[in-house]
Amino acid sequence: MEPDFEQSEHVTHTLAPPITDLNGAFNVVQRVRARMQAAVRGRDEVIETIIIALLADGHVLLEDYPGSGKTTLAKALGDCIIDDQPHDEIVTFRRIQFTPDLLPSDVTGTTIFDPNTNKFFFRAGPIFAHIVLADEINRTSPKVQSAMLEAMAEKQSTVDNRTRKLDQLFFVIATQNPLDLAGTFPLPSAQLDRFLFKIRMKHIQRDAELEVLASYKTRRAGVGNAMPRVTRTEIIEARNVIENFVWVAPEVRECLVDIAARTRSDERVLQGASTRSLVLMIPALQARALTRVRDYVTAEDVFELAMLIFAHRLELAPGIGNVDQVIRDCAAEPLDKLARLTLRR
Amino acid sequence: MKFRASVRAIRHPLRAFALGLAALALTSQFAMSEAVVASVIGSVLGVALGEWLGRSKWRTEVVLSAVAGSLLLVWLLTALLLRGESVADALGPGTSLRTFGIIRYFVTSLAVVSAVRALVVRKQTFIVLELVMVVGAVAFALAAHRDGVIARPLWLSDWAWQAGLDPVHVLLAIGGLAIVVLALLLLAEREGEVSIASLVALPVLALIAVLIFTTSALPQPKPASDINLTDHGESPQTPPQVRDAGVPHQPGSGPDGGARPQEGDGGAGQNPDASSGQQDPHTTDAGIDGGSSARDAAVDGGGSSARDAGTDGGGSSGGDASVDGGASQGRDAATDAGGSAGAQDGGIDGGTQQRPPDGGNGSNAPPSDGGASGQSQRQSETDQESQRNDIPQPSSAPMAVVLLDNDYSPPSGAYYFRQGVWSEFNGHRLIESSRTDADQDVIREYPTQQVRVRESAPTRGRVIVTGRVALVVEHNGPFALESEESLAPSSNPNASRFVRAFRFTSRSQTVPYQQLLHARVGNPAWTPDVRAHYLKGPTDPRYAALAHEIVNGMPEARRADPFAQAVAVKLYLDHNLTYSTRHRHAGVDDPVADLLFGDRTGYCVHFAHSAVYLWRALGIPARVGNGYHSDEQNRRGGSAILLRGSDAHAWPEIYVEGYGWIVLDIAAERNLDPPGQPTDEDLQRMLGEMAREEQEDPADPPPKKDDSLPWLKIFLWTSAILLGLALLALYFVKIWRLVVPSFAKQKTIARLGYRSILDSLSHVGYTRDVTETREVFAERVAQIAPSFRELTTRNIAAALRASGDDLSRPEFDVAGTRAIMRAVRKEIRANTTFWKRLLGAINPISFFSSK
Repeated sequence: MEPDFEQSEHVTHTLAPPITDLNGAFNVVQRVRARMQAAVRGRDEVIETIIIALLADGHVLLEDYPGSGKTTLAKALGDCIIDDQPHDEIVTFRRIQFTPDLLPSDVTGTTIFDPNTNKFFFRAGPIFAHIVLADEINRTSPKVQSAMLEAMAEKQSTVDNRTRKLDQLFFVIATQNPLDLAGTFPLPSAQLDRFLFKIRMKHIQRDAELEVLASYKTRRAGVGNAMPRVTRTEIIEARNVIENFVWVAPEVRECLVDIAARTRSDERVLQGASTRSLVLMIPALQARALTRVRDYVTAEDVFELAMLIFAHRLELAPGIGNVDQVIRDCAAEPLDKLARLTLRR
Repeated sequence: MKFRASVRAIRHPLRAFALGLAALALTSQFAMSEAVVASVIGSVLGVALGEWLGRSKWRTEVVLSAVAGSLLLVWLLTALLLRGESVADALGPGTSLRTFGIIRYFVTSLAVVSAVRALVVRKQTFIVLELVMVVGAVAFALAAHRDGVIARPLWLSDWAWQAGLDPVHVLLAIGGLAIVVLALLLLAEREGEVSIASLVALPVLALIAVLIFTTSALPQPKPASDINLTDHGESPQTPPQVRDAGVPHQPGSGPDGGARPQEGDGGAGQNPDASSGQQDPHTTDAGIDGGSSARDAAVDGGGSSARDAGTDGGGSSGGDASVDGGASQGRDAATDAGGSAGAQDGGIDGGTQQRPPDGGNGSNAPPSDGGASGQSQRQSETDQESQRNDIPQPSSAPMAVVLLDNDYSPPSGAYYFRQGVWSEFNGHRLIESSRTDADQDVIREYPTQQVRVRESAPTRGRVIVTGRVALVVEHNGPFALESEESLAPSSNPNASRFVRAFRFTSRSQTVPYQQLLHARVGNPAWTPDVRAHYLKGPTDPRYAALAHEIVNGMPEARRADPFAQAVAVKLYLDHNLTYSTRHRHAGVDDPVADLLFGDRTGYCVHFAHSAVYLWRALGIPARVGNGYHSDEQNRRGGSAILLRGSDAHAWPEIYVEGYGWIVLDIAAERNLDPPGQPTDEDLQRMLGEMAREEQEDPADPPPKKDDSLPWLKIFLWTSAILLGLALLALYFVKIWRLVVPSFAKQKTIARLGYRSILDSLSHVGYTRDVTETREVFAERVAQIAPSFRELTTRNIAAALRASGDDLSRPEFDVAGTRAIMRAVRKEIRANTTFWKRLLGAINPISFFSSK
């Protein structure tokens, strides 16, 4: 898609050149990272993961307790991105608070009759945005969830039999509360599979928490607003660059396949990693390599992302509680094999 | 807590005390007294020095190498100075040797103790070393106390007996005290809680030390000095020799040297002894027929020998004093007393006997004193004698092992190993001849090359027998099966068991005694002087009277046959003498007369002298031989003959024309001594095996190969060779992996360089866990070598980056990678200990863990 230079200039006061190499892509990463880190303290790892998901064209599911900064994170991300196509109906950031009585049309939008023109016109729902925060996604009915499902999987939405395309930059950050499950509709595994990462956020460090308290006022005042942002187009271009220029060695792909095979044959696992998860993993690996200033994927990337990618996809046998351990066990040998490769050739 | 605090307060003095004692225990076994003092002082100062070094800011390696360097320097310096003549000129050779010895002992103990102390200060664990030093010293000092030999560390048991204590209790007390001191030390060292386990470990440690020492100490009792053939007794004087008592005549070539009187004197002194009692029980074989074992037993009655010694000593001194009245004799007496009595008798008095050779200084000294005052000596001897009687002391301590190459069976039924001969009559007894033209058939010095006797025995009636002697205890001179022809040095087959070894070639008697009848006696080649020398005896007319009386009792046909006369005398003595080692005939002018015309009871030295005097009175050239005697049956068919202290013997010999010196031993028919211990066959076999395990020495005939175990040998050798090859290969691979980055090209430098560094990290214990990725590992290693991260990145990039021809990428940068490698190595060196790196470098399979 051709960027609209005029509009970018208008919004960012700079004429953004098209991104054609990894340096440009990395520059995007840096800008997003800097802005988000300014807005959210003590969550650098999560920020990193979200950036990776953004660049890998995946969605993330944040699982954490209330008040731990999920919304702040999502808003900060939305705040980073400039909509350089202001003329369409798609906005930068939307938040949907899921409740049991929500209807699909509340999410997707609906057609409304206009008496002046005697026509129905479509009023876009909140999913017509670049960044969508789906808050407490497990609290809504499966009907609404399936509407989300289609949108996330196909990047399109069907209302009144008319299918409308969502924007290419459609990024969902869903959250759910791991406790307080009364009256919820747990996400079916098919829908869980739509999320690239499931991020379990931990409580932030004491120092970071102190800093959060100390900097609360300044951050609310929007201290980071002066920092450079990125345009939607830049992110799309960065994705293309990453896909084309970050090298995934055949051995890395073998390693992924080996890990998946092990999860399937492990007796602690009822259902192993799907092939789709592997397919989704490739761009994530590439994106992570980029964030580490590399143009090639290493065992380290696999090791770090395996947990995020597989944890919510594996169905464990009854009585097995620690999915991380299972993944570590399954990944150890293929990763070691991959590591030893560097001594052999 | 209070107790701990007080122990902590005294821990430094306590440690200095313990280590000083350890130094004392160690060095007192072999060093001069000044050197012992020096090393004790050195170790006490070493504690202080080590404490200071340990708290200094230098690195441990620096401290250790400085200490080692200084030690080496001092040793080199003293060696250089000793070699040069200036110092020796200035101080005199003795003084300079002693001075440098003292310096060396001092510096060595200072260095060792301070090094260990510094280590302990740096790292508590090394206190084990200190404990091992103390425990080892104690165990070493008591090492002789083994196999339940409570009398073994003689210096200790002597003292204990003297003080009226049971040595066992003393030993136990020492052990207990050592453990208490060690426990206190350990307690003081720990700043935190003391683990009970560490206290329990102490006795275990001590036990282990004792066990280790035991294995190397075996059943090698120090020779009770019984046998004066050995150094102890040094003074070879005859009489004593018999059983411990006086020993060998040989001049004091022994270490004690000083102590001994000149030989001559010594001889004199002893002679008297000899004379007083000359009876040789042993000789069993003497009889023409062959000895009877019973007599041997008598001989063995080792205890007797010790006592004899006492007696002899007494006798000799007395005799000497009276006769010579010379200073020299005084000395002899002293010597005897010292050598034999001193060593042994002293022991006896104390309750134990002789000390080990080392005692050198100590033991000699007392005797000398004794010598100085003849009277006192006598008295003491008397005392000794009386005491001795209470103490049985068969000494079956192994003295030497003889391996015969030939299957030789002596006509007398016993092997005579001659060490020396006494042929010169000095007025009281027979002593070693001072003539240069007599007794030239004996070699008195250990061979350093092939040595032949000046006057070898005739070939007639004799056969060449060769063999090898391995000495368990140092002797005054070599001995060999009679009559020795030549001696040659031989390598010591087992240095931990034997003090030296040599080979002998002898012409041993095969002619039966019956054939010697009608033979003439004496050697026509002798000058009249020599002949007179072999005929000179006491002027006492009773000898001649007795001799002629015996001859007159012979059948007339035989009366003119000198050999028959000799046999008649022998048979007379056999019949009329009684063997007893208790009858020492000490303190009389002519012990032989005292015996022969008195109670007719005595032991081999007396017997031998009696026979020689009687023969000489009849005009038959005769002399006394001394050395060891072993019944043929003791061989039990093996080629090894174990000579024990109780086998020491003196016997009479006569010269038969055409046949040379023939042993004609006296075998008293009555024996008052208890039977001795039988030969320990196992010991004999074992020592024989040990003596046989020799490296080839050129003088030896090629040993017959033992073909019985070729497969085992082949297997062992093959395994050893394969193992060696494998080790070589491993080291080759290791070194190759280390140096190959120097030859690496752009495409391989990142891989080979990284691998090389991985090996270096393996040396110091950093290996990647299989669950770790390279990056995580690099983070871990970054604690000691931050540059390793970059190397890891390059390595991974080289392997996983899209292949391309862009050789400007960092992973293809040969020089840069090498620079990083150097940096990593430097960081490793800076952040790890030398020992860790050294151990890693030695480990041949360290690279297996590089992954």
